[in-house]
Amino acid sequence: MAFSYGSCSQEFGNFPVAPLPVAVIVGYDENDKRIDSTGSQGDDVRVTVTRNGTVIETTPDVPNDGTTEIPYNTTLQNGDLLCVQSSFDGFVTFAVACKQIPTPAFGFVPITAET
Amino acid sequence: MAFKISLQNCKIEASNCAGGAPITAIFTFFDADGNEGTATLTGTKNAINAINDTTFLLIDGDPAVDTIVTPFGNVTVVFAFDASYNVNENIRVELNVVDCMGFRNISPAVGFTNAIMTHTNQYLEDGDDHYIAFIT
Repeated sequence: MAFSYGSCSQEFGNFPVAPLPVAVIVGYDENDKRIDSTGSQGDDVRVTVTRNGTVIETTPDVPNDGTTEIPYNTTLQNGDLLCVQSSFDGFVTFAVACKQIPTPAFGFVPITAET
Repeated sequence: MAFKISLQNCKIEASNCAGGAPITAIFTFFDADGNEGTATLTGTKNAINAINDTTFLLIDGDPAVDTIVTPFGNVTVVFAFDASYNVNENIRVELNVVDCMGFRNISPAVGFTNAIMTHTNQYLEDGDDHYIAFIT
């Protein structure tokens, strides 16, 4: 009995590797309603806005040129989580980078006499 | 006269930053005539949030630079007041924050009275009627 191995002797060389997306969120502009995704790598980028654990907006995909400012509609509030997503495959897979809007708070010291 | 500000029960939330990262907290003061003043605090998030009822931010209208010493490091305070600002007639205080990533809050924390602060028998509340302190 002879065994014949099929043509499985492939050359183990350099196979094309799909690029991995990179998401970056630099900042936001509530007046212009745009989020700066400069540094993101991917064909397309988009934004999600999460409030109290619920995604309240996912923006349409926009082509990424590496300095893309992504428009959004939500009126932002303190504590909102802003995320940039970047993808090479139509968001079948994607990278995510998130930042949260800070929330200030303070109190006055109770006093019992004028100072 | 002066008043004192504390973060003892109301910490700044800046989740983009570790406790040792630098943030900036900007207090803005408004007197009954619309004159303004500011106190700009720089320090780590933990240091600024360590300002409390005993290690407080004192507002007396003096434009000098101040340092608040906390267990988490020093907080530098730079004051700036309109020449006509009257601390005895302060009626409103706002707090805005810039975190370590440059992210700013959308709306300020606000404390105000419905009358000129006399520091007796008045309460201060923020914009959504949350009590901040009762001053006796």
